[in-house]
Amino acid sequence: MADNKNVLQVLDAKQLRLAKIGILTGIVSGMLWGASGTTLWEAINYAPFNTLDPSAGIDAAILNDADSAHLEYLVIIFGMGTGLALAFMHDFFAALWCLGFNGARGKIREYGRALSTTPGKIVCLGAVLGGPIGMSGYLLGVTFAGPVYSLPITASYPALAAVLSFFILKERNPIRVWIGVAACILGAFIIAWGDPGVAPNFMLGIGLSTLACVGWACEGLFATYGMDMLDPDVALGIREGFSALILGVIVLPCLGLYMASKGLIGEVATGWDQVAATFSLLGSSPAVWLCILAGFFGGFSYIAWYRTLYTCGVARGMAFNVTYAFWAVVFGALVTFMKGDNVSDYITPNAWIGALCICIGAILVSINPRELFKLRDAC
Amino acid sequence: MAKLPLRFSILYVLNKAGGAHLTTKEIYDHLAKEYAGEGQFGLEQMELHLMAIKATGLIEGIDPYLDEDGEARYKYGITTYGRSRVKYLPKAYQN
Repeated sequence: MADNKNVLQVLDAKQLRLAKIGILTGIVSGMLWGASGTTLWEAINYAPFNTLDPSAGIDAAILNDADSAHLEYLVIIFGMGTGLALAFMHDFFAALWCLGFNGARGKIREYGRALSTTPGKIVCLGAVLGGPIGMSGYLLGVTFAGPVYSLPITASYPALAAVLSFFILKERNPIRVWIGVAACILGAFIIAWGDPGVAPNFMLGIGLSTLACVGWACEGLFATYGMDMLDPDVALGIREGFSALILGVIVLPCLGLYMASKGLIGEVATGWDQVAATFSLLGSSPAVWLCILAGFFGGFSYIAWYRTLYTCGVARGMAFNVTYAFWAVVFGALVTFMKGDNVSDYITPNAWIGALCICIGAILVSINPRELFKLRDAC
Repeated sequence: MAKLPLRFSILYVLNKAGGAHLTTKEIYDHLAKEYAGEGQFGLEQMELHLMAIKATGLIEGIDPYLDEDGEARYKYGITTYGRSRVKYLPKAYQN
């Protein structure tokens, strides 16, 4: 009897260790996603994303002659191309990093096996919702409505996911976890809330941001459902690769077709022009290296996040992931400091208060790892 | 027949065992022939997969014991919820 009790204690400790690893990977996922965003933001400062070269930006003659309304329109189109090109390159490089990671762990053959199953296809559906819909909606929402309104809307996805996981996956969460999720979202709101500024196409931006929120929330749900029967590292590799494929083969060409239909080709670079220019400037601009680095951070952030989703559940996993807003403030301050600029000029008090709020939320969510032993009512 | 993803195979083995609960080593031995030589396949990785699947409720752990190496382990069996997911296995693997 005493022996049996000891064995149970050892197993309990083992399960607790697994749950704690889930919490740790959750924190790491938020941190790496924050680093990925900061790195992508830095890439925009370099050619081809800051250039007026006609092959990669807006034609110089048009810049001089166009009326202001047309120019504003061109800038929006250029911004859309930049956003989608960055989303594609981020997911493309993240997929390569994941391939290397899974290759080193002997899991390459699982890709084909997983893709032939229904859960594998569910993960692909999650990839479309999270990548082309979520990521594109997020980047375009920022372009059209400005970050002040679009970031709080997109950062609300954990709340939507928590509600959906409660009804669909039957996940059990104590009231403390719900308060933690709410605190994380409130923190993201506080960070983004400031001078509203002038948004070029407000309602479209709000709509796209809402679409991103729904896309990300559903991605977590689909991914978690699919990963019950699949290795999360493999599921993530499929997610990144499929997302890059859809962005590269469907979304970017669709933008090009739209531009062709409006007679804009030649006036402003398409998304694919910007991707091609980024690679052609390999030796002279750090943009491509920053994209590779962002892909590294983003890929491993997702690996960590998918692990957290299946060890901690959807609601908790998402609450950890949304701490990227906190880490973005920290890394943003670090980069500003390294450039020799005054941190307080760039990082507002709102950012620090919001970041603190997110920290409190994450602690509330993770305070009792024993709750992770049994995630669902169906168990 | 095409090979299944490893976690599918674990579920298949436990479903085929009916109501019986198997040790980690027994499940490992069932699959060793099929997955031998793959970097992802090992006794410790198997235990991690089983613990992760257990947390989702597809399988359950009962009768804790110490194996020959002194490692504390459960015997694992498929749950009713796990059986509801067997529909995702290819037809040939569903019985």
